[in-house]
Amino acid sequence: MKNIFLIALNTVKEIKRHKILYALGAVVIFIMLAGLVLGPLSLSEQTRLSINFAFTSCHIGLILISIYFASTLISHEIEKKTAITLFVKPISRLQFIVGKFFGLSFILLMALCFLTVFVLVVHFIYKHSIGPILFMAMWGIFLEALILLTVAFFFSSFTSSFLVLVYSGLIFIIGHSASGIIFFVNKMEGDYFFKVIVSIATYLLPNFEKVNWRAHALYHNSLVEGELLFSSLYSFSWIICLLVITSILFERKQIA
Amino acid sequence: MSVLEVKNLKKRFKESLFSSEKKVLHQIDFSVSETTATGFLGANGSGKTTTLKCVLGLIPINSGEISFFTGKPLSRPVLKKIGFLPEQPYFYDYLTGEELLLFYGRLSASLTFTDLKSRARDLLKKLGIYEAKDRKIRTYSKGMLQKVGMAQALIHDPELVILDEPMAGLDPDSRVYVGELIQSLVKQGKTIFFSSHLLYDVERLCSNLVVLKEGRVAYAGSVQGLLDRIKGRRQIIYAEKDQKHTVFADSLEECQREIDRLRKQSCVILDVQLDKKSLEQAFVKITESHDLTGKTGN
Repeated sequence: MKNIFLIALNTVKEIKRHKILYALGAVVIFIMLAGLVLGPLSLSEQTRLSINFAFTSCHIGLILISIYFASTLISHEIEKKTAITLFVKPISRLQFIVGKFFGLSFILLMALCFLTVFVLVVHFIYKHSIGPILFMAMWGIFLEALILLTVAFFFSSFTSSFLVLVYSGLIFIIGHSASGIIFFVNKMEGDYFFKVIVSIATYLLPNFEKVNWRAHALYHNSLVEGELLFSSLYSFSWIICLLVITSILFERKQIA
Repeated sequence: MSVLEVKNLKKRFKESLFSSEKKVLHQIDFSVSETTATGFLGANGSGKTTTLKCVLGLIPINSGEISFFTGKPLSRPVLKKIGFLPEQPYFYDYLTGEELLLFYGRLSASLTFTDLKSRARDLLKKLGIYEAKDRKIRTYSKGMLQKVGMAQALIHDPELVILDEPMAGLDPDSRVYVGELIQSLVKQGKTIFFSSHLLYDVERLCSNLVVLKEGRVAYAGSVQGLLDRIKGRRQIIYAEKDQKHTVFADSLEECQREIDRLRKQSCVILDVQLDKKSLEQAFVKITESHDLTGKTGN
């Protein structure tokens, strides 16, 4: 546990001292402010537009932090050869992966708390009622960022940081399109084999729409009973599976 | 006692997925005795760094046996007793020198945080980079990086210190200091195993040698044994009637005979020096030789 804590602490230090974290934070706040400025242009939709901008900027910000740092954290250890000095210390590769995961998760949690304050401010400005669904929507964004973090870790165990960024971005896009793809494929007539292949492919990748409750928060729709628990379990299953696979792959990696 | 023993180590690499495997280490056998400084020599590409990486478990081996501290395989308790300085020390450049030492120290040492901090500061002072302890590693020069790398290898007070080119990138003063540090570590009972291209440093600091050539051990044994094999010249400087003279001897036996002869003639022996080129000559002779079977034991 001590080693995991030390790696996590070092990861937090690494990200905290990275200018990109603050640049991403500034971009998110800029998008939120843009929502406030552009809101009046939409006349009757002013509240909805500004709150939607707030949620979207939080979503984009957290996902960018997750993918960018997850794609560099492990790959850079190999590419910059810092792993050589680290793995001759009494530390297992599993501890390394788990430590990195907790470190970046902590940063994401801090970013989430910070951005939630901004979302609440936007709600206050437009006197939009604040209910538990708002926090559930933010929790959903956090879960999605955690899944993408482990997806990027998984790719990091066998490819370069640039390709990790590309592959993780693709998984993000597919993960949000999965529900739509399944819907349209089911509407298609004939070609049963194609339908099965597409369905299997979409089930083999994480479906991020399962944790997307931003529209619910905007329209005050409540979640289906047990949806929060089911989606959280679904997300943590993905996270644990990917962490285990990454550790196994990383164990076999040559640190040269 | 053998602190490190490598038996029949073989390593093959695949350059790409579809290429055939290339043998990098053919058959490596050597051992490193306790409380000695052993030099690890070889031309570029002879397999020194690959051997060190295999020894430290950074890359898997194809066959062979590597054991530490009389027969123990590499494990976390064993790693706690090993310090390693890589060839090109890349560290977390966002940390300060002191933070870096504390991070590595907390991973390896069983000291309290306060003790670890004082040990880190002590090492930084000894290596002459204490003033830079609060500076980020990214601002360090190459020599400073080498020094902080040396400090991280020693922070947990290891029993076996493995150094890959410890003198590379150091200025003459620092090279002298690192040499003295290696000597003092041996005096403290530590075992040092270091690779180097600088034959003078190896000759000065090591009692034993392992020489690699094209992935095979060309020589493993004492430095003196290697010098004796090439019959290295010795320079005897003596004084006769207040005049300084020099005479050369091709072997140790001849050197003894010459000294006896000179003393019988009432000459004063001022100094006996090994010809400075002798280890270099020996190294060239060993590595140019096609016969790689002439190994000797420690």
